[in-house]
Amino acid sequence: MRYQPSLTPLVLAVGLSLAACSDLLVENPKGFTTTDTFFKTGADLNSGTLAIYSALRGFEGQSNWTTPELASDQTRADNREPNAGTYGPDRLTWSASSGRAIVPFGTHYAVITEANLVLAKGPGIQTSDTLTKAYNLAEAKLLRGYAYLRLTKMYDGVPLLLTPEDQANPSPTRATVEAVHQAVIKDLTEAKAGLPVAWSGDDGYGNPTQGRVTKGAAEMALADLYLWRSSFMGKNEWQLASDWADSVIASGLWSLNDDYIKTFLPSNKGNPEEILVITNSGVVDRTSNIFQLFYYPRDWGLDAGQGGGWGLIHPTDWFLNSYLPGDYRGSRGFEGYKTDSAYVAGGCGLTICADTLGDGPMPYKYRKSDNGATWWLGDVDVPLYRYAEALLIYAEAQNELGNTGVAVQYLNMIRARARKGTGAQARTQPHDYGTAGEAMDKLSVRDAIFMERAWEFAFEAKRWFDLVRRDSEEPGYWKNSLIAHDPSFDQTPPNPKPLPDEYKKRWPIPQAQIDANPALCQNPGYGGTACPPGVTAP
Amino acid sequence: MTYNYPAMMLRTGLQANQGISLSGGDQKLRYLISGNFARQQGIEIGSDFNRYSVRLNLDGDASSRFRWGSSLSMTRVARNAARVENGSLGNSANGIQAAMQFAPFQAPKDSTGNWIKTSPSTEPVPNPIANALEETDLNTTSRLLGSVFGELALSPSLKLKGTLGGNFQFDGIHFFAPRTILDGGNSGRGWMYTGQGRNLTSENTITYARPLGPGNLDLLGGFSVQTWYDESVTATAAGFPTDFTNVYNLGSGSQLYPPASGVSEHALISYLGRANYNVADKYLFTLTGRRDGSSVFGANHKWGFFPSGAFAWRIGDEPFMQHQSLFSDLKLRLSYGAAGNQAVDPYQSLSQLSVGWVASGTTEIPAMTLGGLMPNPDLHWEQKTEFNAGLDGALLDDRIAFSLDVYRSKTRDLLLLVGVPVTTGYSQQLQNIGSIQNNGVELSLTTVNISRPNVTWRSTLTLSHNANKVLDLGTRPDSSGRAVPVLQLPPFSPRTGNFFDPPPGDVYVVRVGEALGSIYGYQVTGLWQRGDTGAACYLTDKTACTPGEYKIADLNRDGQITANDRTILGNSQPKFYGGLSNTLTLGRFSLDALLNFVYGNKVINAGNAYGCLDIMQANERTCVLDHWDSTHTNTMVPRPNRDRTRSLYSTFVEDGSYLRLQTLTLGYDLPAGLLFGGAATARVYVTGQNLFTITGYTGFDPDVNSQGGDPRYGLIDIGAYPRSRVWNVGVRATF
Repeated sequence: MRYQPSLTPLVLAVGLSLAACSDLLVENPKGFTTTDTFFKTGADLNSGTLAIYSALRGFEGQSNWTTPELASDQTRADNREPNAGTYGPDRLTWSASSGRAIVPFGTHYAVITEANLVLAKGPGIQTSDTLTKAYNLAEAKLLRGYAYLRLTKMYDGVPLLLTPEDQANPSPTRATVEAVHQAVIKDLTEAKAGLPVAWSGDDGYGNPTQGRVTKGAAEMALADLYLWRSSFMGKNEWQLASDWADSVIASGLWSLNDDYIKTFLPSNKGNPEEILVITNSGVVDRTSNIFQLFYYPRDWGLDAGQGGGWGLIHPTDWFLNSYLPGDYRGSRGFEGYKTDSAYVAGGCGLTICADTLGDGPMPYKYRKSDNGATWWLGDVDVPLYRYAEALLIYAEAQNELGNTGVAVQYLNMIRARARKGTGAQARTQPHDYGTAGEAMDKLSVRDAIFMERAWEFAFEAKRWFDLVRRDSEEPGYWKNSLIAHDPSFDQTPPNPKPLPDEYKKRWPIPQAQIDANPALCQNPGYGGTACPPGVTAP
Repeated sequence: MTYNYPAMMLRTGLQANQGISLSGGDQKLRYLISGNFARQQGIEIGSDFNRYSVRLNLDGDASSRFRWGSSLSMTRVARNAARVENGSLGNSANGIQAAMQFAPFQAPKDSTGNWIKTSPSTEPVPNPIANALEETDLNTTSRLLGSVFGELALSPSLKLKGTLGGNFQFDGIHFFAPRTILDGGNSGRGWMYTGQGRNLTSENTITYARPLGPGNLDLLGGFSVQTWYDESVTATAAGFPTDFTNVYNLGSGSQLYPPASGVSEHALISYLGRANYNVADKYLFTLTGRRDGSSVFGANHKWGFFPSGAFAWRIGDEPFMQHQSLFSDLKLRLSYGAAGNQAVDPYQSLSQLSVGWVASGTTEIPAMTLGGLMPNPDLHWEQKTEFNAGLDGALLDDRIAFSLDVYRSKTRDLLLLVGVPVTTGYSQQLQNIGSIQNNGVELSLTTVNISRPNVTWRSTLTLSHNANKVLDLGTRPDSSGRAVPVLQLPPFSPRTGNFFDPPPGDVYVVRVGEALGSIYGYQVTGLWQRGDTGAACYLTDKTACTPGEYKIADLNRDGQITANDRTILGNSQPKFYGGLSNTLTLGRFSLDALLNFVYGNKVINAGNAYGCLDIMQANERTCVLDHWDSTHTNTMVPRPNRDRTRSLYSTFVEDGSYLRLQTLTLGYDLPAGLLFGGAATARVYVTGQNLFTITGYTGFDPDVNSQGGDPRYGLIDIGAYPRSRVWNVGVRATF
């Protein structure tokens, strides 16, 4: 072909446009930032810290919350609930590949991931607000320590990952429980040193601070950790549990409300009994809980927006009858949304009434401001640690150390508050322990403390862990309690239910996680690879 | 008094389609203008579909060297389809599925004329008639497609062509649920969505043709750029003073929801070259190469190179073929080449931060959290290499024409979403892993059975067979760190619907050695009977062999039925499929019949998890009348049991094979005497579509795909919109 001069401008034009075009292939997302462009300022660090609280909200979801609730002997599912997946935890129906007991594994690592990101990127940030920066790093340590503590209570040893680089490893192995606890102790102790005693009204970046963690939360978590280690793992660390509980008590920052129910009312957010909570705004579903579905009666319209819920979590008959007669915490009213009792046994929701609820009284301590008009907008702050638990941990530790008198004294502080009823009453029950001829030996007082914990922390997802840890101190306790108290394991003829399997005290590592990472070993009873010593409970 | 809800949901719908086109021109300018209007009333009440389109094509020769053309089309589609298909169980059931689950003794309206909102079943179902008639769900799409090209012949052998095109799309959704139905809550709820997108293309080629040696060489070189840009906004509100304003005054809602918006962009750049060498019109050689760059891949992996080559031999033109009379034409085609796939969402290679929310008091605070998929900076092109051999021919003086293709293709670096350990902080990552193979045969056979002046009869048979197999899924380190091959990806669940317990109900699996779309569940071998005690009951817990319950195969022989006893129950890939069409003309009459068939695929009839499992949570199908009881033991329907888990049992996996008379058309060409209005030709016709289907599938229609195009998801029927039988009457005339 003869060269045509008129081709020159054409070739040039094409060549230039080719050079400019490859910029088109570089992605510049507009709707989101990336980890490379973020974490540059103090405000970024604060936002990243708030992200840990956002992940914490997962603990109030259906699988995380209703599993320990229903699995305990304190609660049972509604006998009209049709979905096996929903009432499954009540019958301990879970395995490595199905059921809800495997879900918390992922929920807790979401908290740990955000905390690791803050602790990795935080120290390098230059900001003038060094106070909030120090608080943010301490908050991350507390929430990370708390998440690992909860993981060990559910699953025993888990992969211990403390940096984003650790997390990028596709095949981490499960660390021993001792290794995880030592990391938790380090995190919580450093958090306690770095956290504020209380937050001012503003976190330095214009955000309200109700719900942000304080020194008290670190102290509670440490008390809880040593209580678990002493009871479940048989280590004699009762003095440490007692000391940490005492530092909460002696700080003078916290106190018991006169009215037990008032602790949980949305109008009372941030009251001096709440040490660690999951905050809920009730404004939009992304910052609200769905406790209406779990606790509000089915008889008031299921989840059709008429004021009811699934009515999923009922007290067992044993538990309902265990309250001392007249105990405010076991009181039941018949006026629907107008009652000031701890349980509702009949009456009207918003539009539907039932003289008596079809399957018995329902717990009524989580009261939404809108009285059930919108089930997806729950504004009750979900309690994780309350001051009452500091008193009872102190009492239990003192009892185990042999100081029965001190133990009973602190136990009775809880009872005294319950006697105040709606605040200014003077009920006779629950009477002070020891004034009606009760035995004062260690075992009887331990029994009384555990029962007090059941009454005090009813429907706060704590009873399951009490059953499991006391089982180490008194073998058979877990199984016998479930058989005696939970209708799912009722042995009366002619149709005795299957017995609970001992291995179910530990929850299974999700099979999907083992499929993605075969280096993970499995807890006994669920199949899979057995773990090296120290990873699972002996 | 009972109500037949499925019958109340369905109706006979009318449809109409009108089109007109005008074309003409001369040497210098040719044009085509056409318009089309189609409207259709859906067979489910409350659903309908309208489409208007206009097209203008121009093609001109500005000079002997410069040719240009332009094409412009505008389309508008409006569709009303409130809760008509798919969905889930109970509260989320839609369309026909909801109608089947609704309690038949419950009237749709109460004594005061208000809609009853839910069915009083254990798992309440919303009133499907109320939803279909009261809910607004208007989806509109307006599209403007235009392109213009210019072709300049620099010399008789050298041509330049440039094309510029644009595709502008505007989508809208108006959704409103009034307070009279369950979805509307106390005082109505609605949202409005607007999306717009533009796709711009510029393609430029240069072609050069000249003789070379014994044949002619044809070269093409080209360069094209395509960009896509999409943005969308959604506004939601609830609590309106009146349902009258529907969704058109969202500011009047007392309950505000946060708005949503988004933008997405991506681009594709390609360089291509092709050489065709034609020797005597008998031997044709082609060689092509493409270099494509896509923005969706990782920073250093944007580009891919895809070559291919082909050879064709017109055997029928060879001298030795002139002395035989069997083959009137024969052509051999061979090709081998690579093609790339980049059809994934953009931004998957980046480490995205999304927004999480925290409450403090009644205030909401946004927080930057890790979001999306685990970033993959090594994300690159998926590549398919295919070898194809084909033979086209005609026999017996063109009375029989056939085309046979055999192909083998292997797709490597498959773009798949893979589960990653949650300890990484993410749950999934888009990776290039594994390879799959597709081998198949396609045959097309056309016979001219009768060919006389007044009577003709032609038949065409098409038959295809494709064998798909997963070859490998990459490797991963085992517990000691060695790389071992991955044999199976973790089972996964359908994209929508909550049919199978416990959530998520995993029903599909991707396994090496099997085809994609493998269905994974429990093999049911029968029902336990009263005599099955002792050794006949192979479970450790003897109380689990309850008479009347499903007898599930204990495949790992551990005495328990657990998730490890699941197995592949079938596959959604058919063994073969095709069609047979016959055209018969008799004078002015013509008769066309098209039969199509699919054989050997399996479909999950998910609706039976609520309809035939005898769990009494909502209204069930008549199959439960055949349930087991002590006097009627010869059945596969188990005894009533509210607590039976809704797992994927093999009884839900049905044969999806079918033979369907897809269209039957009888037409008549009007003779000159009957032509009207100066028409040059006119034809009247009657067409029936979907006249009969022969199938063993117990759902509405076996040709169902509620999951969309991803081949990993097999065929599942979660209440798909029922297929209708249509009768059309029409006229076509040219003037």
